[in-house]
Amino acid sequence: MEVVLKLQGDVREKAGTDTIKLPITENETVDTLLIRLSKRYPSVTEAILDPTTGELKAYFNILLNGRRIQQLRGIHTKLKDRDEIAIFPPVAGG
Amino acid sequence: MGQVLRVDLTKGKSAVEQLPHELVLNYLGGTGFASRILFDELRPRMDAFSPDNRLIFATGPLTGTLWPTAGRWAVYAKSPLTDIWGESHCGGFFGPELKYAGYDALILQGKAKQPVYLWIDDETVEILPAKDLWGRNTAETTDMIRERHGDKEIEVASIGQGGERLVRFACIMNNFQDAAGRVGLGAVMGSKNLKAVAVRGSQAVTVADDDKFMELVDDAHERVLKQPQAQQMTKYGTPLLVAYKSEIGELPTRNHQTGIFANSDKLNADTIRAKYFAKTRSCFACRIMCKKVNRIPEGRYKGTISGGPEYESIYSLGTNCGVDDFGAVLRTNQLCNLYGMDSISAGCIIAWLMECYERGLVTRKQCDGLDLKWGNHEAMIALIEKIAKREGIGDLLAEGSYRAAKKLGKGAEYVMHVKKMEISGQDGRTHRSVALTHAISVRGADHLRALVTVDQLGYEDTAAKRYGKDKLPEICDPYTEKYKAMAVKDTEDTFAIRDSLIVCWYSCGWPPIFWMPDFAAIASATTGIEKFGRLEEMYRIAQRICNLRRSFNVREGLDRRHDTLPRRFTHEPMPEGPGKGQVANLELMLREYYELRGWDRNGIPTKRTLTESGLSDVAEELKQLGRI
Repeated sequence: MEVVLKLQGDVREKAGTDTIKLPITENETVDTLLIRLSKRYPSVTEAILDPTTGELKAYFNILLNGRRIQQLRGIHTKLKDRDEIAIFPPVAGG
Repeated sequence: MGQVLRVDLTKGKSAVEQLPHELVLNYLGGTGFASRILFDELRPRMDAFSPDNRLIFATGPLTGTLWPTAGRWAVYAKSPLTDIWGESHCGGFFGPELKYAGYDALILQGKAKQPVYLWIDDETVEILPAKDLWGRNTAETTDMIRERHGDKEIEVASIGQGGERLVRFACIMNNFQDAAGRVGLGAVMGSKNLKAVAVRGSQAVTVADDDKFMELVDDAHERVLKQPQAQQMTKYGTPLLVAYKSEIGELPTRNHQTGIFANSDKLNADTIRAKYFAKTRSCFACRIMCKKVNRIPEGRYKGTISGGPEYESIYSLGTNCGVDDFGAVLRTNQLCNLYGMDSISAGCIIAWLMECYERGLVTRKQCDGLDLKWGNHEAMIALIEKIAKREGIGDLLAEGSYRAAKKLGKGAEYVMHVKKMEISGQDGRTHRSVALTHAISVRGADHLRALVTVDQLGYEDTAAKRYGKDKLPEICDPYTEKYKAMAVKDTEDTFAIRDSLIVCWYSCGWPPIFWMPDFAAIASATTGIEKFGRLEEMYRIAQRICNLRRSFNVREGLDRRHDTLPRRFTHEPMPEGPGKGQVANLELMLREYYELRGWDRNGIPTKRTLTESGLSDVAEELKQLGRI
């Protein structure tokens, strides 16, 4: 099982790539994925997480298959095979 | 300041009028002023191309000052596209220059016998012949006027061939890259035989309380610099929206048939910045600097260099027409600017014709031999030129998609409009608040007068502070109607003040850098009018403006029947993506919105509401006309 992370804007620039594929385990959630991501791609997590709190930086958004994770179960949202996770820097809407 | 310049083009005369103090106290500036002037001076149901239509160029009390994002200006008239209230805002530098010439507003009326342009140099006001400018595009016009007067810093607001030929969605361009784009006010200018307004000013703008003003300005600049969204806008501009809207399934594609565009990566901000970015530019005194200039290095459109396109043009001329070639989008956007035509309406009209063509409702012969399959950008370029020149099928399209479908007798069900204006780049099926915004907006299918993005972007903590914790999670949910009417009304009120001060949308997006308390404080410090500093007074003025603009439209015959959406949004579920199956349920939001506004079930402001807003004279007029 694996998921695809799509990076946008500043996050993409800092990571030096637009797509990361990561294998997932049976009970993988967004937060456990981010922890594993920080080990393999520290530049990505540095770009999106507040270094003092470890929380997502203000106004960054994580979307799972096009829905903000807050509309689901937040960072505890479970992941499944071939899920697509998009990470966005602050966006002015419209 | 405190002066209005009124020019009668029929008589060839101008006069300076003092700004009535009552107008300032009750309407603040910009949009507020225009709402009162247009209601008072226009006859109901008059033709927008009548010489009696007024064309108002207005600034706000902050224009030309150091307040960040206040370099904007706006134009107002009855719209020839929608036949109702017309309002269009623009960046650039024209507004501050008009203010430096000594005028808060310019009111144009009548019609010149021959093509003319208006030259304003402080107190010098001249109506000059424009025979040699007629037929020129907006860039040529700007250059020729500057050369003629020997001053490269003259600010020019001009029309292109589109406005001259009364294309109903013609725009007014400040120089050649900033547009007062929507509702066809360039055609009103063309109907008056007015090619351009050229301004040079040398006077200072003063404020009432220097110390307080500078204290607020310093704080405002700091907030702009620190705001994460503004930082991203500085780097990428509005195209950053393309990827986000693609992800959430709200990137209108092929005449709004879906919100998913397969090749959106080719048009997103990362691609544009890496392959095409040439430089950043800004409007007057703006530290957000969201505007970008791009250059095409290779391919069919090699060598094209132009400002933009903004997100809305990437949508209208790109995804909505099935185009994934950024060079084509930049070129078609540039052509719209040069010919002086609204890029949103132009793209949407072409998208409508493409859908009609693909469905076999129009033949290739009817389309002047053009193969209008989705994505054919070379055909789009031909169509844009035909529209600007009103040649062949372009003459039909120049009327706007609503009128074009009526004349054609086909395809009306595929016209994506509200109140005859082509819809902007949102989709109420997957962004529910915008369904209401599009339906109730005072100038037709518009996002800029009441755009709510809390249900698009989220940010729950900020939403809880603004709307209350009890509104979560629904206020942030794009697929429910709950609380959306309240948010739209609150935003529309705030934006009425924003558009009267006049400051930029991007200073009060989501999360906002500035909101009503900031506007109240700066309005008071700038004008010295103490009551502007009270929040309840700001809301009172906002509601007065909203009710007066609505009354203008009610006087033109509008009511609930016109606060609607294209059938596609209400009856065709989103076919794919995260919002698959969603439709816009308008009725519930509409009912709530009317109640919050104090309007009756038919969408008409009640006598009580108007009276409480200080508009008893308006109530009386509507009563005499049988509208209330």
